[in-house]
Amino acid sequence: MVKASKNKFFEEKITEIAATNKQPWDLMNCIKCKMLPATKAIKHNGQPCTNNHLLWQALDSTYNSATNRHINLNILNETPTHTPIEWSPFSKAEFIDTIAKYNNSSAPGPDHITWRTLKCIINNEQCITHIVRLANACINLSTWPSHFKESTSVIIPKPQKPSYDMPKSFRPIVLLNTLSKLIEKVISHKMQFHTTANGYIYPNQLGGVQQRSMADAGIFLTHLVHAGWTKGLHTSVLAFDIAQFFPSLNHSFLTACVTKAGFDHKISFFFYNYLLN
Amino acid sequence: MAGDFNIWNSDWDPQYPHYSAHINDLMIIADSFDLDLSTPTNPGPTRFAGNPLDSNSILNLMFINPQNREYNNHSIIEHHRYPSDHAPLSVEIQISAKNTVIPRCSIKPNSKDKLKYDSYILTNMSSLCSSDLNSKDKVEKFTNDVANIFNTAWNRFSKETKITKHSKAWWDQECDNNLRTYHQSQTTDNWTKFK
Repeated sequence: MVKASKNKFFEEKITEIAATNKQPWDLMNCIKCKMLPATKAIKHNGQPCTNNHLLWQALDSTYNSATNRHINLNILNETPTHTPIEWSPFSKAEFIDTIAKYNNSSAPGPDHITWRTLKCIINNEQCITHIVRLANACINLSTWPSHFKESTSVIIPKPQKPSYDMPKSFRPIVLLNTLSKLIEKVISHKMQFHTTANGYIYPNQLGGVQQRSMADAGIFLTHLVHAGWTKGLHTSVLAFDIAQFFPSLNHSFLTACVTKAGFDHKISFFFYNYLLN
Repeated sequence: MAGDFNIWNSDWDPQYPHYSAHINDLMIIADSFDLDLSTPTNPGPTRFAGNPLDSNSILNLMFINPQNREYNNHSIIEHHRYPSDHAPLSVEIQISAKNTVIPRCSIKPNSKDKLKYDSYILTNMSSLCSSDLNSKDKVEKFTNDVANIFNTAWNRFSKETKITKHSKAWWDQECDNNLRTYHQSQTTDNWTKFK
């Protein structure tokens, strides 16, 4: 019996990974995880964090180092302001297409709703009508309900660090409520469609844009190298990484960008409320 | 910091007339951890001589931070010595609620509970009304209603599980049933069937 159960379980896993979602990395769960080195207190400014308050301060100042930093919005003056285009209401199809891409096994947020459950909800005619109406109401009233801002933060150790006594050896992951993630994704999809259509996105921006990938960046780089060779020159590459880029994005800057990109004013207001708290 | 330090010394054993050469090192080490020698609630010997003519001595010590309530609060349990020549030391450590294990709840995929959970959500969510979401308050209330449905469904159908390093992902209800049959009958046949 035990053998049969084992076989059945692993056969199902193999079919799922090989045929259904085609994600071989899911197999990583099946190997034994490497033990973390003996724990040491996380140090901040040379002092070990011995209580929750000190630990919170250490983590907060590492991950949110750029909040409240003064910025100059004038640098946006150089970019053209696009004329606002009308924002069309969401359709059911947008939700169905978006949710199909999600992995059933990703961890849910504080509401415990998995993507698998949300897919069942979306398949229900009345439920999807509610969700579409809710999403449209959020945009039209420029509001983002407080339930959608609830999240669980998980702090995960980064692999293969020589020591784990710094906050930088860990990565915080925020798990939001699943329904809010779905609505966010639909909104972001639509926003990307608009910005791509009106040419607001810089052509060399390759990350995070649909239909563009790592391969495009590689082709562009080899093209530059080849162009240099034909002129008899050597090409050097200077690569740099902006530390803490994502948490450093200034909220008022982002809202200003949204207006510049030619979005309806209600979208800018929505974004302002969305980023609040 | 506690144990058998094997140091005879008049500081903790008044019957022993000499100072040990190792006492300074031990005290420096204890001090570096902010610990101090704790006096037992029932002072007495901790090492019992095999020969009735030899005297018993104090060798087992406990070092505790003086700020802690455990300081000067440990005891020697002579009646739990059994055949050993050393008596164990005991101390009660208060564990606060935040140190206790938080039980985790889960709903097994493809289980009956999962079906009930899904149908509870679908039934209740489809009966909501979303036709008049025309103010911020109504949007807020509607999302709260949805959140309440999710929450109630979770509380009603999830079960407490203890996941340990011995837990097996493939273990299912069938395995459970077969193991129970074996436990009740204790026959080799049922064990082979379980295997």
